[in-house]
Amino acid sequence: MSRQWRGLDRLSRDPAFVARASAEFPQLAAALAAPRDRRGVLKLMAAGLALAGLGGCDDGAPGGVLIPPVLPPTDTVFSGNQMFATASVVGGYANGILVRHANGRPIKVEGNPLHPASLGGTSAIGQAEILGFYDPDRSRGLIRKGEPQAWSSLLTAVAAQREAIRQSHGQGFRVLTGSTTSPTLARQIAALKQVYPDMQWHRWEPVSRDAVRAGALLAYGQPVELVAKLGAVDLLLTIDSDLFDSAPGHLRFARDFAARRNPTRTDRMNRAYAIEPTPTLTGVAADHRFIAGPRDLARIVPALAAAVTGGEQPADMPAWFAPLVADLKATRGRSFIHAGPAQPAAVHALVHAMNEALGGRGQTYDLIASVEADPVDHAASLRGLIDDMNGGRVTTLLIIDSNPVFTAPGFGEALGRVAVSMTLTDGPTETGAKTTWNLPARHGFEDWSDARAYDGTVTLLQPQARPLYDGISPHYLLALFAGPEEVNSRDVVRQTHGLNEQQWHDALATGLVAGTRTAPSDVALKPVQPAVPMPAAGDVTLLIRPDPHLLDGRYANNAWLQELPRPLTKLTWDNPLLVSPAIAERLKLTNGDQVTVANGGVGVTLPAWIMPGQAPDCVVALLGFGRSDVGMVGQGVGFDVYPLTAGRGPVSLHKADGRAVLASTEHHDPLFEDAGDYVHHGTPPHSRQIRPSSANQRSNRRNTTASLAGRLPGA
Amino acid sequence: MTPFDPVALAGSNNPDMTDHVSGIALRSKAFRWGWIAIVLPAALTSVLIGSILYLFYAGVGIWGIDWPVAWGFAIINYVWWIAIASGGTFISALFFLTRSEWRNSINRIAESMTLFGAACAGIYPILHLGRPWLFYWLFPYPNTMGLWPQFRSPLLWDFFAILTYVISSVVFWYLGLLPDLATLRDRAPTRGKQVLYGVMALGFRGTSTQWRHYHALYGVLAAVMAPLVCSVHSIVGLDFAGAATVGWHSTMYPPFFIFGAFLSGFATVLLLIMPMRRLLRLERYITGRHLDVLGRLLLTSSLFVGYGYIMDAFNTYYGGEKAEITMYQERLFGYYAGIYWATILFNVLLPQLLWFAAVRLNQLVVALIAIGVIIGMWCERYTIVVVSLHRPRLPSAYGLYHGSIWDWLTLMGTVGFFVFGILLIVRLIPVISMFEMREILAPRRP
Amino acid sequence: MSIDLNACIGCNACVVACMAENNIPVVGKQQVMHEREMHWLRIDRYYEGSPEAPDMLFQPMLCQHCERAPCEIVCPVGATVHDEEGLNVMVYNRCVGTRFCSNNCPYKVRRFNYFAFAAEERRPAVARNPEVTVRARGVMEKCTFCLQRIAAARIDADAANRPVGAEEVQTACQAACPTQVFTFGNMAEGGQVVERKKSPLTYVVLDDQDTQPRVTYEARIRNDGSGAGA
Repeated sequence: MSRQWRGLDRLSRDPAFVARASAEFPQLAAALAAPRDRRGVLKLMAAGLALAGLGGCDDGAPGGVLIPPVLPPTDTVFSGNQMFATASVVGGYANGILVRHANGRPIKVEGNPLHPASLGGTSAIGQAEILGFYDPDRSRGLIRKGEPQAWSSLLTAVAAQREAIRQSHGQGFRVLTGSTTSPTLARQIAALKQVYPDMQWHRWEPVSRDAVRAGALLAYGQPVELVAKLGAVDLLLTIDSDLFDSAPGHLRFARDFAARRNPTRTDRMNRAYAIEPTPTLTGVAADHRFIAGPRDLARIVPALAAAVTGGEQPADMPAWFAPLVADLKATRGRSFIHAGPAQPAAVHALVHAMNEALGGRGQTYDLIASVEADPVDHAASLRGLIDDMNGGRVTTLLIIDSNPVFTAPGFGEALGRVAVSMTLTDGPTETGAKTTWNLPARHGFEDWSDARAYDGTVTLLQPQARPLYDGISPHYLLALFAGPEEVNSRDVVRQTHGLNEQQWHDALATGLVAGTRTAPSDVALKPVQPAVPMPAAGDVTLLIRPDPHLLDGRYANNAWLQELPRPLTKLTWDNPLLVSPAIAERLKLTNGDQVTVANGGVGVTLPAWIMPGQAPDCVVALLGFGRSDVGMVGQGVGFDVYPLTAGRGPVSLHKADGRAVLASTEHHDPLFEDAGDYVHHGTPPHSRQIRPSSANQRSNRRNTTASLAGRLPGA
Repeated sequence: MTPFDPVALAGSNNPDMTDHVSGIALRSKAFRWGWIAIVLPAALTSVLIGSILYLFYAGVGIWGIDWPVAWGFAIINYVWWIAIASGGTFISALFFLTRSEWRNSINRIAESMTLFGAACAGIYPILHLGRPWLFYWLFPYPNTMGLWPQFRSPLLWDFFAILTYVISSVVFWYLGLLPDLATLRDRAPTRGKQVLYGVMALGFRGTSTQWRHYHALYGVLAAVMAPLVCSVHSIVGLDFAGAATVGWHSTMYPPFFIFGAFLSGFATVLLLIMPMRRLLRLERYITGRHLDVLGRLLLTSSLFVGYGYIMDAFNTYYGGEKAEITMYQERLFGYYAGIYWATILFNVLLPQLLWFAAVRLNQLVVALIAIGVIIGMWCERYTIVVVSLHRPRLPSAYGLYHGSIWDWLTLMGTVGFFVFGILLIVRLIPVISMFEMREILAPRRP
Repeated sequence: MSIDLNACIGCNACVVACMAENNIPVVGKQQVMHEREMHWLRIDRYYEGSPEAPDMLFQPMLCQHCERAPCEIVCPVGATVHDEEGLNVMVYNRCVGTRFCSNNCPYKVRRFNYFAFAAEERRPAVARNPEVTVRARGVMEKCTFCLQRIAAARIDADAANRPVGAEEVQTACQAACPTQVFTFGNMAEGGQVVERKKSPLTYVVLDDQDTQPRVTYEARIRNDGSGAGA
């Protein structure tokens, strides 16, 4: 019998399934019992299940039914649609979501109002995940050295590997993943380490949070993480920060911050300052935005720390420095300072010191033990792996949900020296093209897993559909390396958390495991005075940042995210080099002119785009584009700037020949005046004056209310 | 040639005129230059057909229209052609009512220009639809859904106006042909042509009863057509004035468009009669007087249009609305400023040369001025349509527009089709209205 | 609907949510260069000041559902009309594609299918929301206030013999927004929308056009330290 029949057959013999199905189809139980009718009924069931998108029956989990939402979100009524909870995992951290199903298949991502990471909102990436689920370019089968394989060959190969690895006690066995908070994954790797003591687990995240981790280590000796409580913050200072766009917990932070922004709906409106070299969402949200390049920041942040903690007032600071310090001191206990991941570790340590000195700990933020599983320095971890690969010390390499051939210069070459390498990925990647095995992963909506939110809350991921194409989960693969038994991810995840039936049910229904929020840590600040490294002097400073929508490039095949206009540049389908107006003036650049930017010996030629509000010496290169192996949407879109991450030398920028046409949805050069006519804005005591100046404005308002009232029933 | 030439040169008489004019149409073999001349227009006509077919196949996206400039060449060309067409009706209807004698010899050419100009104009509103196969929904026909078109829309008024105009232009043109077709039938050298022209002449025999009815009908139609052409062009202006778009919402538009129609119409007539006069040896009947009169009319229209431009500026600055002023500055100094200044140059400045009688009679200069006016009128439509749309009220919606290759090919195609049509007319139909000329020429040979 | 500009951080979640909910096609780089992107909701970004240190402002812009809609008057076939609940509705089947409505819209929120974008999109049909029409070539489209969600709520309300609740319907943009920028509801039943429209910060974009839109904005207040504020 084919696989599908086998699956259905097993299903039809499962009493729980039959009982549930008979509620819908009363004759089903009788029909399945009668041998003559049985095949006919199975045929119909197959057709029906296929129409409902469940045709790709797998052998796992007979009766693995999704738990309907027992506790639906308040204030919403959904008719005819069903919502099932899961999470969108970005950078390893979970944002709880609900997936809405229509006609039996997942259609739309909505926020989970019960989940602490968002309280109901979603990010653009979270919304776009549904397109990734249906992506026609997804991996559809095993490939070994370019040839399709049957699953049995994987089982055989892994069995052989298990043997070899056991012989060497795991010496030469390496697992590379991205940043992860999954308790199940961590448990499985710990279990593997029991079996193979010398194996190593490497981490690599191209959009690095190493400095955040290192800063916490400097300040506290432990890799503690920040949980901001922006609802209690009266004064927010962000330094080159991703607090609202990609920091773990950014959805929640944005919500809490925004709740205190409208003076008519909050008792005390908060105030936000931003100091940054290039515009970010925190900069736009800020009441005062100060522009400072990396060299300026390297001077200003220590001075700020000295002023806030010790009271020294250093000289030759910008004009805004003293009022900022005064404001920080005036809001003691109600302020919060946040630095972004691109700032060096010393800056993070100083920020920790400042936050403690300003009395915010416990009020405006808490520190918790690291949510990331087994945090290490990613750069060192990857460097170690590449060195070992080059030295021939790696025999078996497992790459799970990571694309180092594209994101880590030098990895591709080193990969050639690894005997057996396997990539587990849900779509084509540059790494998958080069490793020995290319294993199709299940999409996040297709299997069981778990992850933790920014505050430690455990979120279970439950499948929203049977796998569209054959695929396996990381849990299955890791278990396969431990022993020959093929496990079911649901069992593995369930085993990690030790929940009873009711708790499991509730966790799936609400989208989070109750009571798993990490308690605040009481670790004390170490009295260190880290020196912030001064960046090299030069005409041009190169900043490398993740693209707001593609991040490190993993979403390059998501057409919605490619076409989504970036918040500040309104660019789509491209990643020009963002240059400051001063540099554009100096090099006589207009939008689209080609430039060559070089970092040490490595140069990339790409178009330029003028970014108003950027520090005069800064240029920003955006990661995530220029992928060569990603599927039809993202192939060849944009320019690959990852080579620039390897350079250590001086940065140079030259105008090159030619122009490129860039697709921005703002189809003209930016204007710098009269924005207030359209986006009314003002300051608190003058809020009366922000109404438009047209003489009949009041009568318009009357007319509006009148005409609206005229439409209300009973009026 | 002087401006004081008579309407027909001395010695012109009816028999000679009839022989000459009907001879052109009845010639047994076409003139050599006719074959050469028709090649390019025929090619362009096939380009037009090809462009239209590709348009229906691929969609209106092959043109350059986008957001916010959702109207482009199609509307520009439509207005441009209808203005050209209107010029013909002015001459045939309006100047009929004024009993101007000079009109009689150029009347037929003018009406034929109307016919093909209106044809070229009329296809564009259908082509530019996103779903052109449903264009008939603009017509109020009884249907099972009880749906009427939306009568408040200027586009619907436009639909009725153009429909009326095309139908009445065809009727008026055909009616004006009847006596001449009868003449051709009577003079036909071959039985085939006799039957052809006979059928087309609808049995016109020239009896006095028929003539009485004919003159009455003709008078009525002219009296209808003269205001009709003004109203049609006003409605075309209302296409814009009835919109809230920046720069369009002005009560000046309906008369302004009529002025523009005068201008382009007279220019095109001039451009047609000058080569025709030479090539068909019609110098007797189209004299310096005609050139002088048309030149003066062109100058007058140019002054009207210039007045329109000045009032445009006055309305904008006197009104003081920021969005309007921004858009107007765009016209003067923005991305499309070249096109605006070309408009001023060709429509207002160059025609001022026609103050001089010597210029009015210099056919080369007049031809250049007329071509300039035609281009200038196209540029004016471009400015009106594109510049207003590309600078809407919200700055976030500013955008650019460029015509695509298909836009240009379709435009050239319609030009070719127009010339093709005129050449066909010349070949098959008397190019001068013989029966009307008989009213002003000597009845017998001297 | 009321949009709070104080809360908008420009994250674009609402734009993607709208695309997902309403089957909005992706048009590709070439067509974006031709200014034909199909996003019904866009986040406008304005600068004020100098290019070196500008003020930056975000404003979500969507169909304002004007009570005196300029688009409704000029459609020759009546493909865009106002319904009794205050929405400006677009009848795709009736649209012949004259695009006059787009020209007349002062907010430029209407999008036209210049090509068969939906048919040419590289996306399996099953991925689309079955409750929303997929638009053909040559048809105009725009924000509908998630009419499919309103209709679903109306069905429920009719079945239960009650009016649609004040906050019973959440538009896709409203549901996705992490900072609660959008407030939408049945004003006939009161609720938060009515409250927000009474706010002193409420204003109408381009109110000199007297389109009387049903979407109002709350002005952005900067807490610059002068006067009242923390």
